[in-house]
Amino acid sequence: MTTARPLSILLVDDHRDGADTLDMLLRLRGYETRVVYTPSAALAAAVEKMPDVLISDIGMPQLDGCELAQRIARLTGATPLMIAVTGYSQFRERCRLAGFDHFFLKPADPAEIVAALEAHAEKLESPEAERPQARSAEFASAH
Amino acid sequence: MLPSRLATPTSPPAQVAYYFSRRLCHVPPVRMIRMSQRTLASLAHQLRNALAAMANNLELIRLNGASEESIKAIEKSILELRELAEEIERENTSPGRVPLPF
Repeated sequence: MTTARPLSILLVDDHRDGADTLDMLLRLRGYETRVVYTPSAALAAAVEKMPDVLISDIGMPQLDGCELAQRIARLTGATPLMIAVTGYSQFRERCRLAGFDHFFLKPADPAEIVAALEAHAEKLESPEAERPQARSAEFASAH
Repeated sequence: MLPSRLATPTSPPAQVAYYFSRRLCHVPPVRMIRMSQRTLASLAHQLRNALAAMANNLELIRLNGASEESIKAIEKSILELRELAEEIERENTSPGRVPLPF
């Protein structure tokens, strides 16, 4: 990890095994993580403390990841780096339109997720740490 | 095309991965199963969810210094199961079928 302050990450996935194992990996890498299993818990966690990064599943009951991202932005007035990790390849375009910065189809290579986090940490450390407005231009996807 | 055969692994984590991949690969060819599109999409999604946890666990055991043999065997299982998920998804959107509305 390159940042002085560890990135804070909010991780939401209704598939607990996937969420817990990714949580363990990110903690081992030195990131500060919070893991939740429902979109409503993610919403509450984001309002309580805005994370630097949201890693979200997309196909979840009650509220999908795209809607969750938009609600977080509406409620908090801020947007973290948003990473979609989903089992549905059909969601790629929808995620881009919802403002996600990265799209990973499960099973995602953890190294690729970490690379996206490190790139973001470097951006935050740079003097102009504002997030670019043209988000769609930097939408990246894997698999 | 279904994945090719694996050499039987010897380490416990690799054997677990091998067991599950063999069980899944012994399911009759997807083409022969009469399933609704939603069921197929859901099946691929569930498979990908399980694979995500498996890929994360692989990274964790790699960090714990597991043997190269175990790691390679699990990597191979992940690859095979990912191909299976892709095959299910292709079947779901093959010509003559209407893609799911999401």
